[in-house]
Amino acid sequence: MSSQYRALKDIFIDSVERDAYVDLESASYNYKILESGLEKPLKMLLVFGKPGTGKSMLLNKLYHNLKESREIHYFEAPILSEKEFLRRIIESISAQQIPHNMKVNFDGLLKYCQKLKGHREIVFLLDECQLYSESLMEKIRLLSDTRAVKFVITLHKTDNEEIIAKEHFKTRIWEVIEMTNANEYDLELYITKKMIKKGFMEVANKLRKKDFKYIHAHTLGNFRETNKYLYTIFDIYEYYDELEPHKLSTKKFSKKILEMAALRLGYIHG
Amino acid sequence: MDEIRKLEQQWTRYKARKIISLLLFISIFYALGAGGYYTFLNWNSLNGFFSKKVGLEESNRSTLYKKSIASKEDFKKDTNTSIKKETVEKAEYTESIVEELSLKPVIPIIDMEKEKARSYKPVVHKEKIHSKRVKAKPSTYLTVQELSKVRKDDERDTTRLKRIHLGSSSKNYIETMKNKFSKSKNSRDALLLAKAFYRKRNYKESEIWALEANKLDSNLDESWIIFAQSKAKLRKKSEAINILAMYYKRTKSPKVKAVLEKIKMGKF
Repeated sequence: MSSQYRALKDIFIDSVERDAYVDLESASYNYKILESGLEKPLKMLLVFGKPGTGKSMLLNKLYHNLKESREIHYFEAPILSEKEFLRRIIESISAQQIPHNMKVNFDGLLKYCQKLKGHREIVFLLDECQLYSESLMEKIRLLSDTRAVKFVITLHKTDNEEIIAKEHFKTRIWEVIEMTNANEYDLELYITKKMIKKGFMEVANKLRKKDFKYIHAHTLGNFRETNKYLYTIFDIYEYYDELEPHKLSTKKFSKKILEMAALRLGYIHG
Repeated sequence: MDEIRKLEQQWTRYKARKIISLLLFISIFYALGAGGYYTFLNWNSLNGFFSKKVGLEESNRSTLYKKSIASKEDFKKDTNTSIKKETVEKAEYTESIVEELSLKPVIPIIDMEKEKARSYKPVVHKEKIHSKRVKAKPSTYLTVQELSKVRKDDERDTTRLKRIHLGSSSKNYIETMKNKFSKSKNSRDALLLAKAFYRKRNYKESEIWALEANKLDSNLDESWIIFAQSKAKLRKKSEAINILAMYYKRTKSPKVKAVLEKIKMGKF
């Protein structure tokens, strides 16, 4: 019989799957802004924030919630080749496969989009836009000017990317959503909800306020770091559960294992 | 498996280090607390250490007074006289102290030899000595008869007390002042030397030292006066008058004017 902690640690494998999304107050607020922004006649929407603040998760949720009701396409991984990017755009709009030996003409694509204005409104969700070249960003800008295509883009918050955002999109971006790290309360909700959702209420109840505080102190509320930390914690738990169960308390969460995981990840030093 | 064991060992080291640093912090905290508490408790004595010299002198005076009483009382205990006599003696000594305190100025020096001699004398003799004394009244006024008695006693007592010679010989004084002046180069010291020479009627020297004081501080009235007086004593009256007149013109000092008048009239 395998340890319950094996299944538990798998919950915290970092992914942007729809069911991995946890509805937090701050995330819900940002989601509502984004959703209402799509209803407005805006050309572009920008979601920016530090890595691990839930930008990709937000785009993923938006895609899955709206894919049935409107024309929406999600480019989860950045497409760095211009040729490939334009091919994917035209394929998404026309719902046709373009042969690999053919090249998409950008002017032709622009004219095609202009003809669609007032008839269709296609939304493209582009993640990790800081990886796109400046010329490709310029093409995205021109496409958004046709008003037949709307872009929701995510950027990592660094000085350089802010410049990109300012220079290319300052006249086009009407809505900017800044994603931040979770506070202690949100992080507690995030961890608890994640565990309860998968039926680990008993373990979730063992975690006390001070344990959440300790986790927050090391991860600073970053969701990616929190997932990594909790994965490590339950990995160690799994070992003790299977080989040295007498060392585990049945009543409370082990501070020793919290510290051991922090040591393993380099948050603290022995 | 090995990895977890190594991690556990690492955690043990981490925990031990944490406990040690916590204990260290607590001990430092307690040490600081204890130091602060000690300072708080001894604040008055520390404060007293930095208090003015005057305060120290006053406390010394009171200590000496207390010691004198204590020594007298201790000595009385040693004598093998009867209880009655002891009581009488004690009363007399208390009276004598009260008299000394009420009728004489307080001198912060106790002549222990005198005290000793007085204590060894037979009681009868003491009674004789103090029989003429007048007890201090609670009122502040004494009758004429009482006052005359007190004066007589005072005169006799002062002859019996050792004289405290505070001054030094003039030669030593001049040497000391010269040494002092060579170190300080102070106008006041030069003036004191000029005065000392003037008192010794060494007018040449007093003129020199008064001039020295003038050089260092041209606004010292006294140095100008001594300088002019020395000149006058050296039969340079007109020169003395001229100098003082010039100085008076500048300072309008009434003291200088008075001396100037005296020199003019040859009355100094």
